[in-house]
Amino acid sequence: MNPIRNKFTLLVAFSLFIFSASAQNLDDVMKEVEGKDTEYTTATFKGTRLLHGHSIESPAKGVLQVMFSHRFGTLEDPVYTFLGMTQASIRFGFDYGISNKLSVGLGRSSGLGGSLPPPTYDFYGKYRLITQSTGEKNFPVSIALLGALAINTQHWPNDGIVRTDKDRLSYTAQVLIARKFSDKFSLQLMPTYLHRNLTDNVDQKNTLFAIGFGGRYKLTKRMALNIEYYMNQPNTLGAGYYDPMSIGFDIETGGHVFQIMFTNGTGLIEPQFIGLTQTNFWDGAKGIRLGFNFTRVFTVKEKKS
Amino acid sequence: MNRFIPTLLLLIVAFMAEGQPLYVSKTNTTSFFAGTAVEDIDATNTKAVSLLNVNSGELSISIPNKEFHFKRALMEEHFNENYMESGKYPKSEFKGKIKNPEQYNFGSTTPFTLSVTGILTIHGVPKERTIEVTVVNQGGKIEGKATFTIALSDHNIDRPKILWEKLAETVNVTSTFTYEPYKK
Repeated sequence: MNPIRNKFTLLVAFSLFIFSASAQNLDDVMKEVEGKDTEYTTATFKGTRLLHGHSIESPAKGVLQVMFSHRFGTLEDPVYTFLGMTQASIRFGFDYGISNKLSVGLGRSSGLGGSLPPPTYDFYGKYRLITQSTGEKNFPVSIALLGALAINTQHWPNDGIVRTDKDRLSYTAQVLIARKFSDKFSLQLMPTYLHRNLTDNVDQKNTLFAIGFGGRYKLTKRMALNIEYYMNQPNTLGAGYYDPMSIGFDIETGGHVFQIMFTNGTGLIEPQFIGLTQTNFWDGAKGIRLGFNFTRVFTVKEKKS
Repeated sequence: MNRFIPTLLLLIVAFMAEGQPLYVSKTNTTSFFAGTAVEDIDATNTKAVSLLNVNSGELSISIPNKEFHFKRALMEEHFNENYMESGKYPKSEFKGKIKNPEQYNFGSTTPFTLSVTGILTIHGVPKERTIEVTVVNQGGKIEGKATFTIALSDHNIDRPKILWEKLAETVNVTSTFTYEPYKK
C-alpha cells in the first residue's frame, strides 16, 4: 500500500478521534461535574421521642417544641375507668434546638392516682455526634448522646427516715444509635446507664444498665408504626418491676406530631419508665395502658432561606 | 495528497478556533414560591449543576432536592419527606435543547430571549416543557434567567386533603444560572 495513503488514513482517524473526544455526551460530562457529594440522612424518625424514650432526632436550630404527654391507667377495666383515664401521669415539656446538633429540654411530670410517679422536674441535653451518610463520606449510622437529670420534688413522707436533697436526683446517660434502612424503615439501639440516688427498697439497684431497641415502619407518608423496648439487666429492677414495652403510632398533622401508644411503661422520663414500671406488658389488659404524646413546633428563629 | 493534509490541518485548526462549545454552571440560584395568602412557603437552592453546549443547543440541569432550604425547618422536612420524597427522588432534572442555537450569539452583551424545549423531571415524573430564557453575556460568562410555573399535579405531588398546610397548587420558579467555559 502507498505509505502516503497510510499516513492520510491515520490523520483522518486522528482528527475524527479529536472531534469525538470534544463532542462527548453531555450526560457523561454531567456525571463528572456533579462529582461525588455526600448525602446526609434526614428524618430517621418523625419525632424527638420514639415512644417513651428519645430518638436520635432533635428540633432543628431555632425551633421550639412544646410537648404534652400522658400515660393512663391500665386497660384492665376499660369501661369503668374509661380506657384507664381515671389515672394519668402527665408531662409538660419544652425542647429547643440550640444548633442543628445540640438540643436541650426541660419538663415537669407528675402522677395522679394509683402508684404513679411523683412530681419531678427533668432537664436534658442531646448532642448529635455523627449523622448517617452516603456518597463521598459514608457512615452507616447516626449517633446521638443524651444526658438527663431528674429532680423528684415530692414532700418526703413523715416516716422517720432521714433523706437529703441529693436523694431527689436521678441521672440518665444514653447512646442513641440509629440507622435509616429505607424511607420507611429505621431501627435504633439505646444502651442506657441510669443512676438514682434513692430507691424504694433494697431489691432495687441504684444503678441500672439497660439496652433499648426500637424501630419505626412508615405505613403512609404521615403515619408510622413504632416499637420500643428497654431490657434491663436481670435482678436489678427489684420484685414487681418490669421492662417497658411499647407499640404505637406516629400521626403527623402539619405542625403537630401525635403519638398514640399501648405500653406498660409508667411515667414519662427515663428513671420512671425504665426503672419504675410496675405492670407487665405480657399480662395483657392488666398490664397495658394507653399513652399519648402531642408535640407542636414553633420556629423561634427563622433561617435565612 | 498535498491537498489533503493542509485541508485536514485547516479543519482541525478551524475546529479548535471555534472554541470550546461546552459551558458549565456551578453558580446559580433556583428559588420557588408555593405560598398562598395565608402562609409564605419559599425556598432557595444554590447547589444545582448545569451544562450548556452552545453549538448543539443541548442543556442539562440537575438540582439536588435536599439543597432547597426553607426559613422553617419543618417546611423543609415536609418538602423532603411528604412532597418531593427526596430519599426516593434525590434530584430534579431538566434535559432540553435550544431551538436553532446557531441563530444566537452567546457572546452578545445585549440580552436576548430564546426558548428551550425538553423534559422536566420532578418527583420522578417527566413532563415536556418549553421554557423561555433571557440570556446575556457578561464578561465571557453566559447568564441565563428563567421564570416559569410548575403545577404540582403534573408531577404527581400530593397536596394534603385537609388544609393543614397552605400549599399553592402551582409553584412559581425563578432560576438564574451563570455559565463559564467548561474546563476539565
